[in-house]
Amino acid sequence: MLTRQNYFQEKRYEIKNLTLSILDNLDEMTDYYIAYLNNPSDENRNHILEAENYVDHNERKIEKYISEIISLQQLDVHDIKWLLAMNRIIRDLERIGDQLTNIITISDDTDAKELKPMIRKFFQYEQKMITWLIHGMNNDDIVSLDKVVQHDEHVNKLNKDTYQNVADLIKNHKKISESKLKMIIISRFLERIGDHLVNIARTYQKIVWKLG
Amino acid sequence: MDLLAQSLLGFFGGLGIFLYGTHLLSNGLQRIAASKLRSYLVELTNTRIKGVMSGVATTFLLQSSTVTSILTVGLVSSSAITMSQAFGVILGSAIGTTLTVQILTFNVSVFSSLFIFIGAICTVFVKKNRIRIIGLLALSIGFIFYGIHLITTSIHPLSEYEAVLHTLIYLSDMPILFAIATMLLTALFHSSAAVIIIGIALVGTGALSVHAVIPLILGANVGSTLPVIISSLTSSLEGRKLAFFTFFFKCTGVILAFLFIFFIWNPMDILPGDAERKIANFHTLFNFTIALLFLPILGIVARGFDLIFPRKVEEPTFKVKLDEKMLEVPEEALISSKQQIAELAKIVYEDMIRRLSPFMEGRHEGNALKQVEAIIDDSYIKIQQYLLKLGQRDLSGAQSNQEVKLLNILNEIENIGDTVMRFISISEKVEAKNIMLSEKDRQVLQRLLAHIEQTYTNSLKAFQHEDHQIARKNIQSQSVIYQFENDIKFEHFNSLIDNNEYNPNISAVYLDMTNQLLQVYHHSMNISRTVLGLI
Repeated sequence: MLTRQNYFQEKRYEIKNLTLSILDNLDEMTDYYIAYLNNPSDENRNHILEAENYVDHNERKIEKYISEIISLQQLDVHDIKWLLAMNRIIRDLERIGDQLTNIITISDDTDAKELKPMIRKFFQYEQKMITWLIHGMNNDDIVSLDKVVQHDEHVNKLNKDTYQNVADLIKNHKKISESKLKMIIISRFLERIGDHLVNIARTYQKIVWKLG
Repeated sequence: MDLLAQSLLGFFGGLGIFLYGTHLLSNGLQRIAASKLRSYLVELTNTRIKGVMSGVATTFLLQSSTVTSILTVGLVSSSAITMSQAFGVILGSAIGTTLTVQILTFNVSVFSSLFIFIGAICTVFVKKNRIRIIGLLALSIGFIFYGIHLITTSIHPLSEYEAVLHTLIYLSDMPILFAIATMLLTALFHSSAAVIIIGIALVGTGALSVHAVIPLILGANVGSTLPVIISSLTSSLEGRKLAFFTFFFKCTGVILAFLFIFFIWNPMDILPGDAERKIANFHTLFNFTIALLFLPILGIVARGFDLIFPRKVEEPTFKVKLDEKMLEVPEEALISSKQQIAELAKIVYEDMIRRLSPFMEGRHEGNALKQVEAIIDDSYIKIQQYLLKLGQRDLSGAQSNQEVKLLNILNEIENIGDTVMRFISISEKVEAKNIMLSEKDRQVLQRLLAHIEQTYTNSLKAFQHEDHQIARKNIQSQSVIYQFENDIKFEHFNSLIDNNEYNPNISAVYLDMTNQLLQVYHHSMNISRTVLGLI
């Protein structure tokens, strides 16, 4: 009995693996970020920037695969939808990478101490979300993907609390430091990361439902 | 059951397990290493000495001199190495087989159970392919060791029987007869190692002395070449040369060894180690010495073989050259099939597609094209049969994938031949009915043909060199042809209207010719798709 390797199936497999490796990489980026907050050195900052380059590199690679597949073969509508869904997912992943680099761009050594507790809390929630997302995508597990969606409410609440905290300070005519203002912006970036993770989970859930 | 029957059953059972183990081991190693070793053979065989060393390594790693010989035949046939370099590999291969016997003469049978256990666990309970292959290798090594154990333990009681003892004493007194008998036995088992292991076991029981076993070793060395000679009779010229060279150099070695050992000096006494080790060392020394003797004169020997086996004058028509023997090494059979398909594809281009342009200009070569088509059909059947036979073998995933690709591409090439003939048939009808295509229509057909020629040559290049980049570009250019197809039809209808032409025959014929050419294009494109893995 002969067996064969199909080009489309192989590329599909590669796309999924690359996507999962980007997620792993983003998870690592959050660890690098904590390391940077503990020790705001150039070396730690470069780790984050290098990881972001890796994310961008893989995103471009997946994009190339997708356009290549479309140009080479007349695909079934479900396959096209799968490719478009993966394209949406990598866009969200790329934006997560961008948000993480944005945070490091606007914060400097002096902010690290003040920002650390808030960022840690966000990352605690988001790292969990990334872990569920990886598991969900790896095993086509709707339950894990659903957890990602549900967990976003904690991230949203944290963002609101941060905003409220600074708003209260303004209301009470307390002196507002530059770090406090940056906190609001960073909190917004971190909240967007949660939204992107939710987008990815929802997009992948649709893929799994279609497979079923 | 008496002791004799038990011992006989044990002996043959052990021999069977040993032979099955060596077969399994060689097959398993071939699946994982043949392809790499083939490329190493090309790279590392640029001098004779390197050829010998590559032969030693390849045979030892693949555990089969037959597989090394088939790989070497393939390399000589594709002109990757010269015949004298190939002879060097064969000399090395003879030394390589002795290394196996060296290992087997250590007390390896104690590890048989361990290897069988590990092998069984890996093959039965593990799903991962790589681990399963490793398991299969462990299992086969375990079988070999266990086979030796059974042979050794059963031979002891056997050798105490008077009839057996009497035969052995008789054979010891008649060394040439003894050598001939072991030569035939080796040819029967297809394994010199099995016979030498039996010899070692007999020496272990004391039924034979170390000196008396020499004819057995020499006979086993010649015996292993006999199956190769027989199977080479239907093989390619290169295959025959290598088989007869193996027989020739072993026979020469054995004759010289007989003369030297029995009339001048017997080296057994000075060889190091106990009785078993002395035998294994003698086996290695014998093959090493004849390799040393032949190495400096390989060029002369190769020229001598060229005279004995002259190359036939190539026939002007293409003939499929596929060696059935190569089916034993799927990697080599696939390479050989690919070469033949590429040859066929070139004929389709040179003798069919490129003749279409003059044909459209009225320079008729219809009959010549029909002859080419007959050759293509015949070759198609032969290559397909060969590939289907190959498909019945135990192929690895990559080999199976390559086989599917080759079958698909072969089919596309045959279809191109058929389509070209349909095009010719339509064109002949045009002529018979005196239908005249306009100059503009002719020019469009020529342009389309130029596109098709380009696509076909690109696909062929992609196929020959496994070049995915060319294949990809070729496929991505197809939208140009689809648009061109639409333009052709559009312009054709407009030109009919402009010329106030109402003859529907012209349109039907023209569009029919266009469609046939587009069919050639689609088949050419399918070759690129197949190369890329869109199968």
